[in-house]
Amino acid sequence: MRPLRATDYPGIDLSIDIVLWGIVIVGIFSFIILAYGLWRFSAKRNPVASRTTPLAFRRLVFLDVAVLIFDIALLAVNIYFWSDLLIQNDDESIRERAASENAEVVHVKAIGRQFFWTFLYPGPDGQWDTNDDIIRGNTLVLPTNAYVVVDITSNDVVHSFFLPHFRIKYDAIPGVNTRVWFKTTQEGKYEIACAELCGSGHYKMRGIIEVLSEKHYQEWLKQISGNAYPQYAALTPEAGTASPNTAPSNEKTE
Amino acid sequence: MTMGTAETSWVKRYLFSTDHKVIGKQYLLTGLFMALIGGILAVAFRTNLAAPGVLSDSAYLRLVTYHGTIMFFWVAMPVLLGGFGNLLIPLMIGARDMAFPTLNMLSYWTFVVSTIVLILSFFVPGGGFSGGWTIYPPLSAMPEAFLGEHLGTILFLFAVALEFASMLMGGVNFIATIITMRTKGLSFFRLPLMIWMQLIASVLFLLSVTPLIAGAFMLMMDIFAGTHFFTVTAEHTGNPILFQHLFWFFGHPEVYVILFPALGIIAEIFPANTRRPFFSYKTLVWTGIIAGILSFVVWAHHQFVAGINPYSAIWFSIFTVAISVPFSIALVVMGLSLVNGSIRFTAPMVWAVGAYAMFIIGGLTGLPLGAFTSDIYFHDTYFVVAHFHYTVFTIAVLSAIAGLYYWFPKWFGRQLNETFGKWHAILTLIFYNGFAFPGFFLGLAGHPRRYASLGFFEYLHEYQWIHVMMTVSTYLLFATQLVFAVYFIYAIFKGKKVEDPNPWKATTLEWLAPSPPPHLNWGNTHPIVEHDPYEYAVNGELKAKGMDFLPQGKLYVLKKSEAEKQEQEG
Repeated sequence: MRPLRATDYPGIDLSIDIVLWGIVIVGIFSFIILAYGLWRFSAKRNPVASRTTPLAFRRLVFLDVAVLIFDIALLAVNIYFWSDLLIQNDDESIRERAASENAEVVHVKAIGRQFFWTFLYPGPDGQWDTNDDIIRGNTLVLPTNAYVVVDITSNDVVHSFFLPHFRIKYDAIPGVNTRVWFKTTQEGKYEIACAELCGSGHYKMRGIIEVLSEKHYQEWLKQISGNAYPQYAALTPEAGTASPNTAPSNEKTE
Repeated sequence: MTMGTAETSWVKRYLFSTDHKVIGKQYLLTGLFMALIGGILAVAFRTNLAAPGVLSDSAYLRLVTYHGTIMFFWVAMPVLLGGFGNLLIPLMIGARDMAFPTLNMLSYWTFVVSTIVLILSFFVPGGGFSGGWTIYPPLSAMPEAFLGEHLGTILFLFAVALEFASMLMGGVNFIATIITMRTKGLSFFRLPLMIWMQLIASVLFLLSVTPLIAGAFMLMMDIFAGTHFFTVTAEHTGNPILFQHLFWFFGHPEVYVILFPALGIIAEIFPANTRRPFFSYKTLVWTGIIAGILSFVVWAHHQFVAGINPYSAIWFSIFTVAISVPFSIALVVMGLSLVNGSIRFTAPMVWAVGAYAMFIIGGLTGLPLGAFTSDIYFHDTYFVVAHFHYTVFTIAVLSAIAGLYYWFPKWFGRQLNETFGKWHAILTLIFYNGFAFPGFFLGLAGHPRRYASLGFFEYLHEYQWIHVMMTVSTYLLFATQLVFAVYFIYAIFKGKKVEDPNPWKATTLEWLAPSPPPHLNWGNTHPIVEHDPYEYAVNGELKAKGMDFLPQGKLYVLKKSEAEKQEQEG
């Protein structure tokens, strides 16, 4: 049921698979035993109750031990990937990770607002808050084979930056910068959903991720970086005034 | 007040009564009435999910918000704590009333006021609050984020505050009563499990609610007084995450506040219908206490992806996953109590078994959410919605109705029809799974919750039929409960009268009293406890007499002087 995965980073899917298979097996086992117990010890088949519990059933206590072992394994896997995704997410670690796979690093900022996303690129000079910063409305264009670092914040209320195809989700909180990273593998268009209730247009807050081949990405970058851009801070409108219909188009913001 | 209540006025007997049974009934009926409203809201917004556009965007969110808030605070709490707690605590511990009867009455009437304010908040100009039952700021603190609902937000917060005040009065009363008013011979480890669970729940509520009251106060200040605790502007940097901490420090124990009484109901129905004692009574008590303590250190699992320190998230995840251990032990112990029993599938038992089975699903599906890496994907999707409906619906509906069928004779002196009860249970379980289970698939597909429609997202388009199916199940579920509501009211007045005060042949003290019990419960007798609570399948003398259970206590006739003293105290 999960949407097609667009990244070759397997961590989150692996965590999901392990826990889902675990609970499905434990669940089915529990239901079979419960059904058997209800049938075997119904008043019809077992008219006289006894205070004792046969050893075979008392061994079911080991089900708890199984749950405990499963819990520990689950936590180990989860902590491993969690540390990958949210602890070792500083510039240095990601650069190393990318270098080891011969991938590039793309650093962007995402700003949530009722009810669209704004994306910022540092521009050709690679520095933030300079005149060549690139601002894009609602579409994040990325190259393939890149580690994408997204610094997320919000301009009004709490939003959540959810990339179902990349299995990534993190809240966009006003006044707070949060960071996620993901790896692009396949070209294509993917959707960004908002996963935190942000107002009446919550369900319409749709962003796009466009993953281009390296060549097309460079062309796009050249085309987009032709002009000078004003500081993004001057562009951010007052909080809460935007409506879903005024979301900027994918063209350059003037 | 004298023992013969005939002399007191109607108002004093039925309206402003201090009798725990009347207050219990008042709580129960108010709670069930609110359940009807919550159900109507659910039917309305589920219609919008099947056929988008029926409701406006803000109306959809408003109904979702009120549905969640009502079902939590105005149904689960008043029915399970206010209703069953008030009825059963004095009866099960052999007391004549609660420790503070007047406070008890005040608790109920504060609850009534809170209900009125809540309903009012829905109809004020601008409409009711629509920022979700979690009230996250800045959305809830910024009137401009939702057009024109300012007054609605304030009244909504005020109603919730009043409800907490009411439940606090009740909780203090419960704790004081259970600790100080147990009858002779009733030591703590002889308390029926229902009483243990009510005690743990009341303590949890008492300890957890304070931070939320502080948080709600700060939120009100943000709205009224121009402070910036949780809102961020160019000059002021409040912190929205702070509110989430204050909310969930309460919010998670709150789930257990309603979960424990529900487990208590199942724990009373199981032994009475399996005719054998619990596999291990003490294990259940201790797992309850341990899970209660752990519930205070798991709150941030609601915030794994909300900007908390990723190192602290590790601890919260460990504690959250750890809490599955006491609960799995509790469920296994309950299950083992069926073994070698002689299970009578009475209506309450069918409900209790259904609730028990649904708790297994609810508990297991908590793991993908408590383990934080998988929660990155599942957070705020329909997987969460399905998970908490498997817990909270099981608590507030399945367990509560199991309790209604079981204690109906005690409440009203009449009996609900057994066949009706079984069909009611089976249909409810089918339709309930029909609306709740597909949510896991939607969550797996990455469907975020609180979406008025999935139409804007291509990756979700193919799942619209699941929404239609869930909506149809919701209709059928609601229709089933409507039929029950009509029958329930009919049975209160016209149901078959119980002849036997102990129709289930249960051991606990409340079945020694007449059904329904008179004012001050025990008349000129007094119960004294001599045994553990679940002495079924006994051997020896009783068995020869054809009795398979040993009542927990005996009624002793009071001497005349003692009886007069009791009368004066009452």
